[in-house]
Amino acid sequence: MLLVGTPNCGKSTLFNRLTGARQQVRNSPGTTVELSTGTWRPRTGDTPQGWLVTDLPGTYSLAPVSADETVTCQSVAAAHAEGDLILLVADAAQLHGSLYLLAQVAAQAPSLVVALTMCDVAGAAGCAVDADRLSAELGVPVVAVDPRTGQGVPELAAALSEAQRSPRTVRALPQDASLVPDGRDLDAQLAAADVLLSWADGVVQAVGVGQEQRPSRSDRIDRWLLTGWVGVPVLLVVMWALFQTATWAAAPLMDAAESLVTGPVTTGASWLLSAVGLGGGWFEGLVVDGLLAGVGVVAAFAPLMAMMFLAIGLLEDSGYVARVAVLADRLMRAVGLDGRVVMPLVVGFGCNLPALSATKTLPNARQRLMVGLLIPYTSCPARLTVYVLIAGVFFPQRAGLAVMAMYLLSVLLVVGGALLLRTTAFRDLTHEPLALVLSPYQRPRLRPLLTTMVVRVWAFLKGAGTIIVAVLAVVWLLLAVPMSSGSTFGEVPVHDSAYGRLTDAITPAFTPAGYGDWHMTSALLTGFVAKEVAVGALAQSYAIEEPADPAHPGTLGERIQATLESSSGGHATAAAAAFMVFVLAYTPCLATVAEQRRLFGSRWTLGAVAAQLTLAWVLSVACFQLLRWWW
Amino acid sequence: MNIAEAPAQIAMTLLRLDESAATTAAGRLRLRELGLRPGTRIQVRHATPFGGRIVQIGSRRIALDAATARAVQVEAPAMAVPGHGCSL
Repeated sequence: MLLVGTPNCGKSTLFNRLTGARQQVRNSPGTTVELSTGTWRPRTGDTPQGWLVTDLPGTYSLAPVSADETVTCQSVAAAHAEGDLILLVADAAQLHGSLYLLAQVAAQAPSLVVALTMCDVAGAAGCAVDADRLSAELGVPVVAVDPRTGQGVPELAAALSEAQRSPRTVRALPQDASLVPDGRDLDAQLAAADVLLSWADGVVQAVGVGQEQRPSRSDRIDRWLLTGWVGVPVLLVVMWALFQTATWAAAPLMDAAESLVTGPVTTGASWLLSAVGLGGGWFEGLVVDGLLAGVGVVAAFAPLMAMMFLAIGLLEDSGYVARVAVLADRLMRAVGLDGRVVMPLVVGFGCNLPALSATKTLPNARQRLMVGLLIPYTSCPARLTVYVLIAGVFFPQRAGLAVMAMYLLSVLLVVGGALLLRTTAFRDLTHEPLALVLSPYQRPRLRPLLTTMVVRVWAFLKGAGTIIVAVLAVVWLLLAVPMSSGSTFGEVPVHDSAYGRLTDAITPAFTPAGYGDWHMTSALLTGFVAKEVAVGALAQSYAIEEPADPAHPGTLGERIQATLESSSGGHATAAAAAFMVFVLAYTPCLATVAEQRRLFGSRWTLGAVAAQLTLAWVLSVACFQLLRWWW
Repeated sequence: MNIAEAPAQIAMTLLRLDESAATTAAGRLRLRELGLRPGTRIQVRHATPFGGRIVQIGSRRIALDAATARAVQVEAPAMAVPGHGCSL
């Protein structure tokens, strides 16, 4: 069974209500469009095996204008041949628009059942719809449903079972063979649209839907929230709250989740290994330091992702996301992007990983992909620790200015990257003017939001989490394997390990940037896994304690200064600046790369990683070669 | 007049969309499908920053940016009198 409906008609809420947590998210084949599928086992009705339900992306029409809508159109076109039943979710508050879509769907897949949602909103606006009269007019079952409370779901189940036994088709459709949009010339398509719009007018009148007279509650709220003086400050506060969610609010939960794994779980594992006689050796090292440490990292991300999915869900459900699009349209249009892009970009400065989740609010898969490729250039706090360390050592008088320059460069990279992508790989993203349907404000319901949250966090853990654990285990293995005689497995100085050999192999690449030294490369290589441990890796490479405060690095600062002095031929300051630029521009962390792969596939992710490394290297070398004339 | 010049809360009749309303054929078709078609009743609900408008067509609210709002040509119905304009 396919769920089809206009955007924000309550379709996904209904999907969550029907399937509960028995659902999974996957990309539609060959695209980066996410589809949710799930099993619905109604308590009533006579379908014991249940329904396999697919939640298709919302669309106003079957003439697609985005990758997401194309998936919907193709699925609807194939529905009849594949024997899929269509549940058309019609928004009672915007009945006319829903009927337009219904007519297009019915022209391809005549047998359908209508679920009428938003009846409360329509009632409040004075344009209530009588489901029975609509059913009589259309000739197919129409069931009023409230996905938020579950009211009407048993009746829907009964109607679907009945429809499966004896399908009924929409009658009185305009007898025009060209109802289904195709690639014909525009005038013919506009004419076909007019025919359907008039038909929808007729149905609305026949059903006797009242017309809205006064400004609605949402109009009254928008009078304030969409003005410059009130709306823009509110938008800034919402963005600030979103940023805080990704940083300050998530931090204690992340710490708790990680210490649960590194504390009790690790102790338990060690005890268990000892009990079966495997304790103390390299195997315990592999399990505890290799695998469980990785699990700890992934576990720490789970609450962060959960909070971001919840925050984004609240904004989407309340109807505010569309208002963000309106308010930020002017700003983001300058770089050719949707106004909603401000959300993932703002979150990106807090943490790149949940920023990828925040791209979910964009209705077009191509835009999501493009923004997903730009997010790594937003400078996250993990990179800040490296800036603070290096700037404190090499620009002691102007450390603040040096750090600020990095953030400025970060913004420039995002804007420049957007302009570059728009003129190359993303030329298909047309520069359409803004014409956005604003759905009414609604009070978000927690239950469906929590369901979505659990399903998506699980998808992240399964998809990205396994990669993170695997790569961290490989890094541990590289660090454990001795490459010189005199060391034993698991107890080897960094430079004598396989990891050390790898850094040696990469180091010459950074000689033109002034920091071709294995200590620095080791920090960069570790930084590929996670930037927040790069400073620790640097300290470890000198076999000294990591400074408690990167702003006061003590011995570590002196060592770095000496290293860069020799690697840059006396231009240590220029090399330090180049190092900071590289840290800003190269791949943010393993978790982000793994999540990119889950969302966008291997090809795009590998391309993005290669592009980021190349760009970072070019910028870094340019920076060093330029600055060494002065410093 | 265009909808950016039109008074708020008064029902107007949509005359036509200028070419500048959409850059592509698909974009033009989508505007039509959203209900922006000649002869339809349209009403400005309020203005947004940077010259955009929120318009109401049927029960649907649509946010238009400044350029699109300027491309929507409307006229006040001949019988428009204050008070009457509120009913759609």
